[in-house]
Amino acid sequence: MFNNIKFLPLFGLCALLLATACEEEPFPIPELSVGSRRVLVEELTGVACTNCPDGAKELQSLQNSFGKENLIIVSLHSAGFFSNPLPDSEFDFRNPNVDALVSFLGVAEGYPTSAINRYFKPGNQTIYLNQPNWAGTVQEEFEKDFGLGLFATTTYDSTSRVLNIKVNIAPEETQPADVEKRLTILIAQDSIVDAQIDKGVKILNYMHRHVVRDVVTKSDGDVITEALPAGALVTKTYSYTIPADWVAKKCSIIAYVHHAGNPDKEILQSVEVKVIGN
Amino acid sequence: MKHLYLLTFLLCFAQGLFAQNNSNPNARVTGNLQSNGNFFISDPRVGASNTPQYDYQKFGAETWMNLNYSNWGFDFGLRFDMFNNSNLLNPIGSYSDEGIGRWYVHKNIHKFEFTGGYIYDQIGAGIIYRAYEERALMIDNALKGVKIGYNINDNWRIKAFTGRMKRQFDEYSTVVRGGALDGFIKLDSASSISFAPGIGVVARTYSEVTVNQIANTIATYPPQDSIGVQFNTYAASLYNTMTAGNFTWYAEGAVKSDDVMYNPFEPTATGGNGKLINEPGYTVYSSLTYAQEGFGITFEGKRTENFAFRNSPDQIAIQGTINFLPPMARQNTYRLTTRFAPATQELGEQAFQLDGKYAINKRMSIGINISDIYLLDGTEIYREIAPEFTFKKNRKWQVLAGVQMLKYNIFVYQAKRDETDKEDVLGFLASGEADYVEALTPYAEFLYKLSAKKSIRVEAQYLRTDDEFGSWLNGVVEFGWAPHWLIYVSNMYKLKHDESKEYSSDKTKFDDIHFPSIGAVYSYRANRFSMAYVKQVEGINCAGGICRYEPAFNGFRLNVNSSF
Repeated sequence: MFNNIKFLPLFGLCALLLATACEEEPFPIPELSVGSRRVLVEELTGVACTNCPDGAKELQSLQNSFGKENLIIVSLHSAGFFSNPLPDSEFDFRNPNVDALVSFLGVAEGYPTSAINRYFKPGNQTIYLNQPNWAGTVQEEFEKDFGLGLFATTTYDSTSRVLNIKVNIAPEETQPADVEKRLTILIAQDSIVDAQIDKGVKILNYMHRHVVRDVVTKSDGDVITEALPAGALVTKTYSYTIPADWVAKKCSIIAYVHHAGNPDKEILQSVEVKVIGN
Repeated sequence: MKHLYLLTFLLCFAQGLFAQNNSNPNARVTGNLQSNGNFFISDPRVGASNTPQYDYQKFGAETWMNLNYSNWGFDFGLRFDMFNNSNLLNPIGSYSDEGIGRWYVHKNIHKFEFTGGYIYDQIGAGIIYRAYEERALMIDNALKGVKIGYNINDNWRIKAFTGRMKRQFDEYSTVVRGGALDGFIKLDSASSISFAPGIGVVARTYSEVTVNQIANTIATYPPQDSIGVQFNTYAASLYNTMTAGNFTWYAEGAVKSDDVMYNPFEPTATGGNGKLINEPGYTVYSSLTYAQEGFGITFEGKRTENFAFRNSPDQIAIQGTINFLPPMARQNTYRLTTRFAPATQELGEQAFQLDGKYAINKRMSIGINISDIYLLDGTEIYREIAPEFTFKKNRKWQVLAGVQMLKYNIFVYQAKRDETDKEDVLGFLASGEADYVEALTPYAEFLYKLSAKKSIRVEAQYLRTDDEFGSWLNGVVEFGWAPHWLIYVSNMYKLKHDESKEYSSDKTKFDDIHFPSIGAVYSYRANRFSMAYVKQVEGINCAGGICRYEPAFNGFRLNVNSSF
């Protein structure tokens, strides 16, 4: 029944596989590090998105690890019917300009999901990344640097509720002239207490963090027509009237310079500045 | 433009092949075409809205066109895949791409066989390795590589393979290699006892990019959550089918070395859920069948721990799988009995299933299916008991009737919460617990032959439950006119909740809504054409324990299936 010679291939196969099944050298886990380029996470969410609070917790944990000045989180309430207000909702976080921004980025593949520096991962069909990808991608994004400085200041008149925004784009390295760059400015409000579905349970006093209330620029960004050689300084100014029902002291502006290609919409640099007290 | 050249080449190639086929008796050309076209009509009331297809695209299609050619001892295959605004890959998105979905070359030389290209294959039941295609779920993880097989003798065969697995029109960066030895042993020629043993091994090597990403993820964990990472994971499996008279016994045991997997339920030190783990795993599975004329019974058992085996730990749901774990619930066929199908829990489950059929006489038969699935901590997540009865009257008519008694943990399977029942449907079996769907679904099917060529089939189901959206009715009337036509009308109706009780708007949103379908199927030889208007509620679509969220649909569907 068994012929030793004919089973030689079997022994050869086993020997080959066993020989390669050796102990590996331990792969080094890097130290947490940040760079001069900040990371912006655009979280796609909604008050009826039952899995999103878990995602929000992870993002908050990452922000605690890397620091608020390095990792910026914004929450875009434009997740289709998941963003429709609940019967108990006091606020409607939806905004047509935010919808247009999300539409510019593309379609998500389930929730929780976020765009991280609008990095389009090779092999993916969408710019949005699901939760298992977030931590590693954030760390990898800190290792990249496009040599672009970005600074912003705000002045706010509490009587007229007019917010003046000044953004300085200061390239440290010459930016390629053949790739279009755009500037997008969001205005977000932090710590809004309202209803949220969390794993099927309605929480009436959920703390909504960094909710994007509006887009100050065009939703797909304002084109930067100026050249950006090393050492240049390009200044952009904007005015925005904060609606009466927003809490100005909890608001901040988030400005970022990005590409606008398809699929390359990568964010080169971002900055967050509070409306009051910056 | 390159796809136009490719299609032109494909058509010319096919034309050449057909010409060869006609002139060369040794040449053989076969092929098949499957094409689906969906016309989307927005209906926000049933949730058929807020996706690109409903909002502005209005049309989506998928096509697979396969050509196979055999000559000179070679087999060649080529398949053209096309996706236009398709929601198969992402149920709430739109995917468009086209190109060569598969090609292969296969050759037998004496006792050797060689295959290069995109290869579908499996080891044993697929527990450590299965490269396969399930189009309705958008699963196609063919191995792009090479396979070599050797027939040691008439009863023993060995094979080895290496390559990278398919990901739409690209491949994962992970390298998968493996091999198996399969045999057949019969004690002697007169014996009714035989064995078909096998052993298989698979090794998966992550790319540097993947390992770097994992390491960067681990770097963000607090020390108490930190794990290691390795490039290689090994899996081995031992399996055997023993046949002894009317008995057939299949058993398979598989082990896997340390593997980085994503566990969405793993608690983190920061109070959340969901992190990478690095653990070994195992699966044991067995099925015992006794079959004789008029009677058959099968008993299956399975236990799985940490047996997610993927091309990358960031791939979730049905993406990136290397293996296939056998499902432990039957594949139901009626619309309401398939509503709550259990997806295989690759990180941990234990289950048994019993399926029996007995023919009382030539006209009557009874059957029962019992399936019970638990998490490893003992939490029951699925239980199905389904007795069934069939009666045939000569060749004139037959009736099938049964009932499905179901307990289904909707939080584990669909991440949905469900409050404690206001109305206990299955008090004798379950207690209306929160997060469980308890449902009783009687069903019946009646088939009547009007004449030698004409028949009518009627089926009806009533899903009675207080959970998810509540109770449903479903009915189908199908008229068959052999050999070509099949016409059907169906309606699924959402019964209204008891207005004396308070239910959330989410539970009652489909109350009193009809979900009709009407369609026709025309078959001619090996060709099948179908057209239907369909309105269907959201749900999950499962095949073999692999499930995918199926969004609500309202519109027209066209399908073509043709073999040549």
